[in-house]
Amino acid sequence: MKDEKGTKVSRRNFLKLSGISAAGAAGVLGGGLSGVLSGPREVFAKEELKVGILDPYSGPYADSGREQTNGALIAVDEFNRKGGAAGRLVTTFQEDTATNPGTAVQKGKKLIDEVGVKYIVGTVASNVGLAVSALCQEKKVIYMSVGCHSDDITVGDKAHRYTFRPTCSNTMLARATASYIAEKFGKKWYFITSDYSWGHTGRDAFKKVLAAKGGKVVGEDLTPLGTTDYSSYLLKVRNARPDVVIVSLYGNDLVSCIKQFNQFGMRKEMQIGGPLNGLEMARVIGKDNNCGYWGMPWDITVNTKGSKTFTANYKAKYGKLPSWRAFLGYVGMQQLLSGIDRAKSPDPKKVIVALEGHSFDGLKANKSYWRDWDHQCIQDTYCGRAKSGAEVKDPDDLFEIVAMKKGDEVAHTRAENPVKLEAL
Amino acid sequence: MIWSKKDILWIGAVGGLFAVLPLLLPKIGSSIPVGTEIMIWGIFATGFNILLGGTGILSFGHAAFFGLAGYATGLLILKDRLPLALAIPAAVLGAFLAAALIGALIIRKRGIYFAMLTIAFGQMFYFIASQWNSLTGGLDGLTGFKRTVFLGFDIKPEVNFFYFVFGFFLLTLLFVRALLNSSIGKTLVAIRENVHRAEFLGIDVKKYQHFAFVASATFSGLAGALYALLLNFAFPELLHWKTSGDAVLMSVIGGMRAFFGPLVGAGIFVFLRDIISTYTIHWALPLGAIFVVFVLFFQKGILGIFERGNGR
Amino acid sequence: MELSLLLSQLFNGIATGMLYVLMAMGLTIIMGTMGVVNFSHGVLFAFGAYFAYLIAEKAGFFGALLMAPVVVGMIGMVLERGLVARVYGKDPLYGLLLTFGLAMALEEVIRIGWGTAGLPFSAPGFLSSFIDLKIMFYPAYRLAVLGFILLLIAALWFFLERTTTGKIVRAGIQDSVMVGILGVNTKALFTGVFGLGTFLAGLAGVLAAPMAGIMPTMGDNVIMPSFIVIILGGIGSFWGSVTGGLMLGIIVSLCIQFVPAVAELSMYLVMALVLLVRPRGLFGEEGLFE
Repeated sequence: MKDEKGTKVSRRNFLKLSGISAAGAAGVLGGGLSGVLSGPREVFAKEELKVGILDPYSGPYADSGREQTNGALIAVDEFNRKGGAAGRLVTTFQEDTATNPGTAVQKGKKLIDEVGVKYIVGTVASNVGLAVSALCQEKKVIYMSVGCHSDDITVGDKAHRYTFRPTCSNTMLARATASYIAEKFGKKWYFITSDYSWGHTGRDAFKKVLAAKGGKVVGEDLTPLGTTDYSSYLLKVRNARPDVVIVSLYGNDLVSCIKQFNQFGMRKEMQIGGPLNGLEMARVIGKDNNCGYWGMPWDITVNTKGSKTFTANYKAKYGKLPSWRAFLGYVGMQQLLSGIDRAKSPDPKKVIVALEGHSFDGLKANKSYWRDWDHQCIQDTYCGRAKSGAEVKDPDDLFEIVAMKKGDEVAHTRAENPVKLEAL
Repeated sequence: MIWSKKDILWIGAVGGLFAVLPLLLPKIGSSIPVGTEIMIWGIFATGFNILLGGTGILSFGHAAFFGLAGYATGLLILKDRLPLALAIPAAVLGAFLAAALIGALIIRKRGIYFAMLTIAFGQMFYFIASQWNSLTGGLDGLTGFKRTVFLGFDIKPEVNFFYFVFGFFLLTLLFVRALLNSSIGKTLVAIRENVHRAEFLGIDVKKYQHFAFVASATFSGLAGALYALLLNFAFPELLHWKTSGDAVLMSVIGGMRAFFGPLVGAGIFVFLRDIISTYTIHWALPLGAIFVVFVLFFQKGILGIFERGNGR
Repeated sequence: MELSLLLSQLFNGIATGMLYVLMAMGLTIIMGTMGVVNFSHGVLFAFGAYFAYLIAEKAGFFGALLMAPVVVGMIGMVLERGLVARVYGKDPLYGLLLTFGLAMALEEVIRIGWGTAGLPFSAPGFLSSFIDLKIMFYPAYRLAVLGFILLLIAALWFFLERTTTGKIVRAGIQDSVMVGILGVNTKALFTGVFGLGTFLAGLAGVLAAPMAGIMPTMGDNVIMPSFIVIILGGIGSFWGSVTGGLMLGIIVSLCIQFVPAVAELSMYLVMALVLLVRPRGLFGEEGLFE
């Protein structure tokens, strides 16, 4: 075959070369198409702000991802109606992280390298958040880690100068929730924990509060992300006879666990709680199974003018009430754009400086502010009780706030957090 | 000559096309890392095809070696433990050794059982990586490392890294082509065509199959090391059987019997994933459908279409 | 450690294993008769759950239980006639590749049709409480599923052992070529077997829906355990599927109880061990797939 001569071979070779070139050209053209069709080209760069939105639209946390993006888009609308931020209109580019850090990094690179964004807003899962945070620090892109609650986003050596966290940390949630639970329901706790950073730091934060109250850990289990059957774990829990089972689970995982908690009759034997729960999960859990005490960054029942306005706007645009995911998406995007506006420049370095130390109306009773040494948004943090059965009058009103702690009371102190953010 | 004039011309042409990619890509709104990624998958798939197209053996576990080398690279350059120039060969060596051991264990099985065994081992690697939090970061993945300098050359910028990978890409094409041209390569084809006849001819079939397994896995490892450096991140999915499936996909769609088939498949895969995902998250549908069509009707893949009619 | 906890884990393992048995049954008759490794079995399981969701709105849970698996079985037969039949007689790896691609595409179809988020699905009202079994409280629904699958296994056994069609299917599993030579319409047989196998997958999906919820990825979680079961029990073997399914359920439950870190790893370890030491599994036939 190697040394054949003649037109037959040349035609075949020609076709082969065309084939390879075609595939190569397709790849190149396709890459180009994606660039062209994803947004206006460099010609317009001076006139507009490109913001990347990275949220999960598939995978176990998909519902929350949608909500976060919805909230963020409301903030974009608000700014664009007033002429944009720093005089430039905002265009957003959404990509799906699939609740997977590898995918998120690929998509993050696409947004940064291909589309050319200088800011990324979003993410739900903390493992995704940590990976995106490292990427953004490397690429000098601002990252609003909207929905990641794991402590290490702002604590220790995984925190970065280019990353800001609009939501509460696990420690804040635990301190607002755990003491309430310990006092009301007992101090023997079992832990079921999602096996990744958010689950781990959530569990650890709850354990710390428990220890401070003189409580006891009677057992614990780690479950892989995406587990659907908790039956064997729940049998272990029941056998240990705790007062409370703390489930550091989220999304579909939390839904499955709580449903099975009810199905195995454990609701009448012990209390349940954890760092997070929210509207999009409670809807799927169903009002008959809804139960427990949970950390919440916000709820529609927060009685401030800002919250009511936001809730009304959200309902008008999307036809349903917002969960705190939507709230976080809104605050994260709104703060980014406000920072750009106040810095009067799209330069990320200037925006970072504008954000550090800035205090603002975070739609809560007390003002929120950005702590300059760890980029944690200090804000009111709540403990919510899940309503169930007959007391649920409105299908979207599934939680009742039973406790609130001010941000400074519950966030890490300087002594507790040895973080040292990089120089700009 | 281990390469014919045609081989050199073809590899030169492909090399030339890729060499100018960094100039073309940004001009049309794409990015250089996309080109780097195509080359990395090209290395993975071309090496993998030594086993699939060249020897006729299906493995769904090569991602284990891809991911193993990826994690190894990350761990070795973390906190500047080793310079990159040592870390990459070490990681590839790790993949080589792992494949030699596992291969020796499982090569005596054939067909479906062999494929299932590769899945089993791949998944074991995946679960170990997902749960060994202290070493691998578990489901958070391995962060904290980044590519810096290789023997004095700064490969941090995307364009520098592109050409760095390009070097390995060319070496892979040359090496695999030489292998397939050699008597070893021809023996593998003989085994692929008729195992029993090869045995009757006195060929130590198991030894050659083992060799193909290890050689293909070593290239998977090289690709994995480079991929971890592209993203500055290693994560459990790199080891999952679905990632192995991606390599199979690329080889089948591009054409298992054609040398550049896997590379074409890699280009199409990255193209579909990157482009279509801008409009819809449902890019797996056209990809899966195309794959089905090729498995049924175009068993020689895209490049097979240009061989004698429609490649049946 | 208490006896009651051990017993409850064993019981739960058996109950969970029942679903694996159902999936494995479908897989094993397809693999045994046509030599096709049906990777799309998991996504068809998911289709069962999704169709149940649709049908239950009009016809309730039991309407869904009756009709959803039938729909899935019909889809299976269409897939078989249109696509799978084309790889018969070829290297079994083509079947594997084909169904792998199908699984990929079909899972995306689910996402397109029903969205990417989870859907709620409840057991029928009278089964949504729990029963006091002394050693533990156990959901009434899971007990019902356990009982139902046991009945189904008995029915399948009767079908395969005592009816003519069943015997033809068994013969086909043994030697499909011979069956053709003996005058059986193999085309119809293969379509029927594929339909039955996928029917069982869809049925498993309906049964699983109230337990774990409905998600596009629910098939991914069951496909590998199903393969592990048939390898453990033996490809093409009825009792192999039953034993393998129960064993796997028990192994996983006991691991979660004693060594939770290796619960998933252990499944693949078992798979590798069986494949290396005794590839035909517990009850399989030697040399079926080399």
